[in-house]
Amino acid sequence: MIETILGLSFSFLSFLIVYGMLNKIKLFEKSINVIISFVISFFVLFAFFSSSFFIVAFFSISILFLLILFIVLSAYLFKKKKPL
Amino acid sequence: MKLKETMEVFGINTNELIFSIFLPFLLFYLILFVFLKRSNIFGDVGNTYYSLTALTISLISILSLYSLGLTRILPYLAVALTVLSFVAVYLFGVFKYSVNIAMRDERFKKLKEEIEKLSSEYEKEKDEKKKEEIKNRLKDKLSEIENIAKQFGLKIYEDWYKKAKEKVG
Repeated sequence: MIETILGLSFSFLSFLIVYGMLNKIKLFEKSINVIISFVISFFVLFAFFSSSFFIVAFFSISILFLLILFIVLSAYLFKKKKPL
Repeated sequence: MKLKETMEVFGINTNELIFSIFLPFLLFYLILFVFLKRSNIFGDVGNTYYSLTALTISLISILSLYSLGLTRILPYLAVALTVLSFVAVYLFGVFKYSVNIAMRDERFKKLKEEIEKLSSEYEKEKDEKKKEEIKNRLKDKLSEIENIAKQFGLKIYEDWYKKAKEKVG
């Protein structure tokens, strides 16, 4: 169950990122952006199910790293008294 | 013997649900939303788009951490890291302060030499723009040396100081 939700979330995330980026660079029209994003998100969905463990492990480690970075940065900026 | 019955939601202990899942989820969401919004990575899209992206990433993060069983150590990790980093920052501050105190004699001498050099440079310089630049640097050095003198409980009456002070105005 969790794996399915994760797969769908990854796919949706890739759609959001690709669509957002394509929209920003304004390379194609909006409808083409949507099609490209859909294709890539389907690709991500299938890729996720073929090697889910590595992706999940990678994501977990990255997010833990982000958390560590955030805490250390907060402490450092607290000392410097400068907003982020 | 069970001392206390705890409520369960979706087969997860309420304590674990709040401290290991909901609060980290909220924290990730807020951090990611702020980072995404500040980076302006998707250009001129509404807050909803950034919020949706942050929500999806934080959902994936929490679910992947949960599926690896890492959510249990998350609160402990966060608390340990916070305490450690604040202790490190405090110790670094104390160390820096001690070094400052120990080195202030040498710093005073060095600043005096720099001020004298800048004063003579100011006198020789003809270009108004460069003169202004030197004047600003001289101002910084003077305020620094005044601070050190204050720490010693002294007032500077020497010629080099008066000369430099006249230039700064």
